[in-house]
Amino acid sequence: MSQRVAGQAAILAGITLVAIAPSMAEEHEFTQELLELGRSELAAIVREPVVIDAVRTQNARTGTLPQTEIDALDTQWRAEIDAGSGAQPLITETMSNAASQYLASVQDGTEGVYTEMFVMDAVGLNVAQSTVTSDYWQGDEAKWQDSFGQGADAIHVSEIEYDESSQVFQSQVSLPVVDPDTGAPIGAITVGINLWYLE
Amino acid sequence: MKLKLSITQKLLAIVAVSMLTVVALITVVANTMAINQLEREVIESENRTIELVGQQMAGTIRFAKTDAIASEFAGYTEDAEFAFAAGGAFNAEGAALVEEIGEKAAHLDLSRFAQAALENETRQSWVEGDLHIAAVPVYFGISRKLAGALVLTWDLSAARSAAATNAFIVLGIALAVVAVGMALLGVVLNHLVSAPIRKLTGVATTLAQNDFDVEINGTARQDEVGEMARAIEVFRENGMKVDRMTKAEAVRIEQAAKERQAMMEELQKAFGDVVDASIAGDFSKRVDANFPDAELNALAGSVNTLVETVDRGVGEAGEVLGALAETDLTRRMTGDHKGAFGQLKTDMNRVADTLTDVVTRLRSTSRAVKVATGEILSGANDLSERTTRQAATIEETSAAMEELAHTVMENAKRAQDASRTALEVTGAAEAGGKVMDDANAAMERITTSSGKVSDIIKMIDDIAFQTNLLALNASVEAARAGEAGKGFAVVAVEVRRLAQSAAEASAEVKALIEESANEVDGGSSLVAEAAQKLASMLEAARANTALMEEIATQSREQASAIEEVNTAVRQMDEMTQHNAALVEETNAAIEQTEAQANHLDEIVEIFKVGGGTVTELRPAAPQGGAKLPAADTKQAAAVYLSKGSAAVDPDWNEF
Repeated sequence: MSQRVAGQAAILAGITLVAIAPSMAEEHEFTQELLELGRSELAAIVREPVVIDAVRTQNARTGTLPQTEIDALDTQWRAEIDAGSGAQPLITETMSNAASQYLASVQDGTEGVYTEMFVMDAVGLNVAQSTVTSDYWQGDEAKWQDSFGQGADAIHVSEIEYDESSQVFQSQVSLPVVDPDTGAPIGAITVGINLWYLE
Repeated sequence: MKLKLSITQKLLAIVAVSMLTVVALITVVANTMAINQLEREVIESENRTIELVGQQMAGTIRFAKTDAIASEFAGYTEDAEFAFAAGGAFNAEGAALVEEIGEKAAHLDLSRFAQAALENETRQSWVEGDLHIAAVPVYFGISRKLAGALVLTWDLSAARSAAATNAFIVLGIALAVVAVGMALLGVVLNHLVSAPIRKLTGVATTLAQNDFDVEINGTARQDEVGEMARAIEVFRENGMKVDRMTKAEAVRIEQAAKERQAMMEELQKAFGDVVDASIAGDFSKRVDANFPDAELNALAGSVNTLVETVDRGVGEAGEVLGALAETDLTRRMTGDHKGAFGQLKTDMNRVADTLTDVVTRLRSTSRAVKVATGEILSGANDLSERTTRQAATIEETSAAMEELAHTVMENAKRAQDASRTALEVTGAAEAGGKVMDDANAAMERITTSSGKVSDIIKMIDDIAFQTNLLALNASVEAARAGEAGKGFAVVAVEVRRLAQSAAEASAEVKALIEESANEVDGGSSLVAEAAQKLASMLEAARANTALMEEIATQSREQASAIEEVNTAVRQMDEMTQHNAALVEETNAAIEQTEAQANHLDEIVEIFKVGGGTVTELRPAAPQGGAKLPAADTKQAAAVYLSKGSAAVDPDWNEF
């Protein structure tokens, strides 16, 4: 009963939010808390110069790539994952850049609250990441479309996901990376939050 | 049939029973403890398991991941070692998310257990039959928020049957060890105890039959059997000695018996006759034999003295008793007797003295009884006479009372007749009243009729007046007509005359009617007066009737009172008759008493007391009870009787 009431409240809140950020996914009980988190902690992360510089640099490189090239890079990423360590030039390059290092250190600092962190460029390709993601191109996913694609103020909170291997329940919060000079979105960041720490 | 067992068998039986008891006890106690311990451990381990699983499944329960929970339960079901019977995951409200219930736990309601875990927020553990049910609250999140409950049920039957199987194996081993031990013990006991004892028993049996030519084995042994063998050896040697001595002794005993027989025969001859005669009651015989032995002679003298003492005592007692039998109370024992005979003499003389005293007293008492009964008799006769007179007087009273009752009843009847007559008078007076009312009504009707007649007459009077006026007018008109009207004028005069006559007649009738009305008024008042008189008469008649009724009632009451008095007199009559009969009976009893007293006198007279006759004790008898002063008795009787009833008063005679 109380759950249902909470659900109704969340839906009402969702309607209000949709007016501001029309791309919001289906709400759940942690949505509000995650939005707060996104607007405070995560917003601070995407204002870090190391992140903004990395996105700018990559945008300069990938801004004109045709979709076939993008798909080719994604395929390469997946192949490298399957190939295992020793044959992962793209993965190694991405994981070792300064922004990735920064994200890894932030994630370590949360002691498990953040399960994964990755920054994407203006076409949806990964720029930096704290852990190895399963794919390289996120342009087809809501996390990128509903953050970067919805303007500088957008925040996207995903549904609750269950990782059977780690038995972790998490939700991904995504928001655009904004160019401090122009105020326009230049990329996006997605952070996985372990809901255990929110309960 | 009684079971015959050897010592070895008995010992084996006792040991076997003890061993089996011990084995059974140890097995039962140890296995019960082991089974319980094992079950406790299993349950504890399962409780630890559910705690871990609960922590592991916290997220899936928190976010209701039913697929993940179901697959977890499926994994448990497949794992035979887990002994999974049922599982259930419930959310924080206690609603079931997933329930996987096996066949054995089909009857369980898992939500009940989940509810208990949620309410208590601690692990709950129950054992129901072969099932162990555990429920834990599940917490999710860093703040450990209650997310739901997990219930797991295990089947304990496999663990239990394994424990029971172990117990049976232990018991089997223990019984096998006992069996082997018993067999060994049997062999050892037979060799060490039973066989040697059997041999020694055979030897002892042979010795008991006075056969001493036997060999005794085992005397060299250092144990109890050796001691027993040595003891039997001693028995054998003693037996042989006794056998030798017994033969010499037999010859000696036979010689002594013969000498004793001869001596006895001689003694029997000397004393036998005297003793036999004494036993038969004849104390006249004496021992006159002379023995070679001085002691025997002294014994003979003593026997003679004994017989003589008895003879003297019994003889004298016999004489006194003989005299008593002949009603002679004067004889006494006078001889010099000692001991029992002395006591006999004293008692005998006391009996005679006592009897003499009793007879003397009886005689004086019977005399006193005779005198007393004579006096009572004369008193009773007097009483009888008075009673008869009393009866006659009562009968006369009864007759007088009956007559009185008859008269009163007559009076009552007459009073009733008078009452009836008075009632009739009342009826007649009431009828008279009614007639008066009728007369009154008739008078009123006459008055009404007279009024109507007066009205009619008044009308006639008016008509006469009008006629007169018309006739006058006619006369005037006739006069105006002159000659032509002459005849008419005559007629008019005639009419006027007729009218005047009519007016006169009506005036007369009116006067008569008024007179009649006056008369009717007078009659009405007379009738009213008569009615009043009749009413007062009626009142008087009614009072008279009531009075008569009362007289009749009281007369009847008087009659019934007299009847009661009559009944009382009749009862008195009956009592008097009864008294008379009692007096007669008393007279007969007194006469009988007198006869008995005479008879007693005759009986006592038979006895001869000291001096040949019985002394007269009556006038100065020392025994107060024997004296009955006649005057005192009579006075006492009168006082006693007058307390009970006035009828016994001396004045009763005058009634």
